[in-house]
Amino acid sequence: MSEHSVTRGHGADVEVRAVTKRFGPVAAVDDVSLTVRGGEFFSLLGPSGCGKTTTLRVIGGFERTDAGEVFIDGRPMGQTPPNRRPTNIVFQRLALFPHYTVYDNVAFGLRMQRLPDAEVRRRTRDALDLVQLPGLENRRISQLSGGQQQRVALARALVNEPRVLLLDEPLSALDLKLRLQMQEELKRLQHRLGTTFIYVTHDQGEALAMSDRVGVMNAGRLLQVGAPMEIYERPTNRFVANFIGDANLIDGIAGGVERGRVTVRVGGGVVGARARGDEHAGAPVTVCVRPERLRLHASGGPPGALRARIEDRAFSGYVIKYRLAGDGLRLHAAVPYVGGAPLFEVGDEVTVAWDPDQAVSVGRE
Amino acid sequence: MSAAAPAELAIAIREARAERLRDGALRAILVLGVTFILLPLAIVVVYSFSSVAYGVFPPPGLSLRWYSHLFGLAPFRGAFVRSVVIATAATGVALVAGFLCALALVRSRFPGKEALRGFLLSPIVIPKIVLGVGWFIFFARLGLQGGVVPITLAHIIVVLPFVVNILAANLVGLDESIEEAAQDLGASPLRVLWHVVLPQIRSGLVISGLLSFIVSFDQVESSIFLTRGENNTLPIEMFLYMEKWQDPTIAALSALLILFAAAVLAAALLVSRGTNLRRMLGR
Amino acid sequence: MKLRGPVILALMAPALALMAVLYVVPLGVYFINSFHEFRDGRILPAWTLQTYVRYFTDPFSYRVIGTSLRLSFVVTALAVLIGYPVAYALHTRVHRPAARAAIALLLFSPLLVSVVVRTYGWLILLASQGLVNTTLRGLGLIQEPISLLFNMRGVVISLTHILLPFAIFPIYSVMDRLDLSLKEAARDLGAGWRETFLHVTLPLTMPGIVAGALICFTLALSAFVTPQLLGGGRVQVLPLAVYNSTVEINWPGGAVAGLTLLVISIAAVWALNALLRRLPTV
Repeated sequence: MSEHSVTRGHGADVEVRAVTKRFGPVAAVDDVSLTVRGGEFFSLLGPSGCGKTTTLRVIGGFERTDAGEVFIDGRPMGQTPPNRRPTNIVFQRLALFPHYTVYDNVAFGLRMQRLPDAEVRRRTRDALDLVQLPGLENRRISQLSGGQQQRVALARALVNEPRVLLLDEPLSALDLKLRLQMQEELKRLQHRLGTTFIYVTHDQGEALAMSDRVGVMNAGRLLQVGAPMEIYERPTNRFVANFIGDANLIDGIAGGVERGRVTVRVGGGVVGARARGDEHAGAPVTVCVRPERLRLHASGGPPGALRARIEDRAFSGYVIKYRLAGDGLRLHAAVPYVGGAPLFEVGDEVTVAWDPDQAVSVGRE
Repeated sequence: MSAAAPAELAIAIREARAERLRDGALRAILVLGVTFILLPLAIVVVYSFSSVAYGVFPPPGLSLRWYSHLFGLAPFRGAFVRSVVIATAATGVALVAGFLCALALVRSRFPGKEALRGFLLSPIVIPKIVLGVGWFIFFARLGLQGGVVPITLAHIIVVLPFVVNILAANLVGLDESIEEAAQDLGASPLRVLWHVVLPQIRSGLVISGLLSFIVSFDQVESSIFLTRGENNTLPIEMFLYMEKWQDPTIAALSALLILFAAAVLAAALLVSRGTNLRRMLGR
Repeated sequence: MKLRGPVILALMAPALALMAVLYVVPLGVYFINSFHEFRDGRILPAWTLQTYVRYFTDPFSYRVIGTSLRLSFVVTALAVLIGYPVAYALHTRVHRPAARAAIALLLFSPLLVSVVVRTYGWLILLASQGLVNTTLRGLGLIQEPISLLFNMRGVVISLTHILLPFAIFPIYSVMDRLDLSLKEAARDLGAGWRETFLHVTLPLTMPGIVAGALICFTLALSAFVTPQLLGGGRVQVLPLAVYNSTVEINWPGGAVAGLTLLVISIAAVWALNALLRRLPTV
């Protein structure tokens, strides 16, 4: 594709500082602080009703805050309305104007800036090229497929060259195949344009696959922010551990903390994990360990290892999933299936162990 | 960027002021709109207590003389009873015929169905005076004059389209598998109709019945040629009285009618438990 | 419950019988009368087009048609111009469902009361010493009472009031169905309040306006009580012409005037419906 006038700008920094937004007695967003770096692909991830969309709408200027402030490139936004912010949004339900053609939808923002017709025409065409929708200018919105509507919504926002693009679950209406395709395309576009993307989703796979960093929200609070791998590897609390990927959450009592490691007494065994930092001997803690990090031994194993019995076994292609019970615990293990290797049978007694560096203490709350 | 700040601030202040102005203007419009809508009804109530016969604002004094005058006028009492009887009868017939017809329309497919529906709804758009003259000639030719029967028959046609329209809309929304379940459990078609279909469209029946009653009660030009003095309906009695007199007797009667309408509405809200009417009015 | 042919027919039979006997036949009888002639105080049985010829060559007929159309246009325009802002204000400024329902009920309430009562209310309000004149004089806007009764003004004011709910409700219901994020999208793309209203809200609520106008126009066209009671004989519209001819036993003349009214009504319904179909639906 040739050089586009939808140029690679630099995306703006966005800072959300101590924002609270109430609807009646409910705090939809509860004292959230967050910094998104210019040009970053940032996802807000959480279950429905967690406050992620409201946070996005606060950034876009659609909701007034009850406390706190949003800064874009260091400038306080105050009560600046959406039409005067350097942001554009792609709505969940797209909100394409049904009485306009594709072309008129995309050109809307440029016309609002009262740009000369020639420029409107050129940039609108380029934006439609960018989202790979040339030749559909004169179609009505109702004549487009879901995927095409998606692209029009994207073009309508991007044509204004926003410093920050806000996306509110824009792919949720698409089927799986189209969704994966659009994910790749969004990532490609973001990389190429350098615009700051703030992407709201409840789909952890989507967030992990696309984002530079992810913020996990629940019940109006921002629980953890980090790169996808970091969040997977080092969840700082139970909710994040559970929401991102599969997790074994094992309750125990902290023993000693030494060189970033904590030993935890669980039933009849003693296990290790990376410390969060606030553990002290005798306090209850929870250890998070991913199913694929568990090692199962027919006998022996390291001292203090947990003992369990195979309750169920399921084959799912490249992994074998075991359900285990023992020592008052229920555990899930995922073992890579390489063929030929001996399998455990239901009823087998095994010992369960893991490398303490592969587990993390997540506190109790 | 900081140099632009004062200009930005000025714009922000201007916009905030415009928004406040707009907010105030829209609230004022709402208040004025409601006032305009209610004013004629409110003034009627005020004037029913006036001490004088002529229209001057504010009334020089208060009295109940127009109410006592009204209760002395027998024709109004007869007309009121007649109107209630006619409206009730017309509504009853229209509900039965309209429900059966709506059911057949919704649960069938045949060529020309849309045309038939259009025909059934067409009395709504025909000017009532045209229908009124038509019925006048028709009943005169039949020799069927006087009494409440011709007027009731005419009103059935006036209200039938409303009933068919509202009930058809209600029936379209029903889940047919509930009826099939009832039949599967051994209910005969009639029992399905009575125990399954009718309860589900209860609010539609209340609303269309209420609307029919009000529309019938309000007929003037469709019925004016069917009345001959001894069988005047209430609005016609009022209309003819107003052509001759303009004293607050009519105000006293109107105030009572407003009270009556409020009572009918309250009863309907109670019967339908408010749900559907509320949904219809305020979502 | 699926229905079979004979059952369908049986269910429809009562309604269709009523419609045939009490609707088709009377309208037919009415229509037939237009082909007779009224002369020397009686209706001649001979078939003729003379009544049509006389009606459409009489300048008075056109004055009446003109008055009818003018009244209907003015009242429809006023009802929409007042009704739209009221619906918009209700939609954008009142958010509690209970408050919305209460205000909607107030706006709807005049329909529960006879049109004769409402017209009577205006008779009191518009009198030379009535509330309207007293208020206007109190505000210093006028010196002498202006004459609002027994002329076109009074009929227009009263009829606008009577039709206003019919304008408000279709408009309000379209606004209510409008996806709020469409307005937000316009704001997001740089449109101010005015542009958002002109480019998004107004075009997308046009179906409500047209639907409201359709109801108002046809009701205004066939309005009888208000022009009769408040027009003082100076507002000669088609329904009054039909009424007067019928009272004078000139059934053929009344029939032709009535048919003219009917044709104009149907033409208006047809035209506005055609317009409605071309508008985008929300």
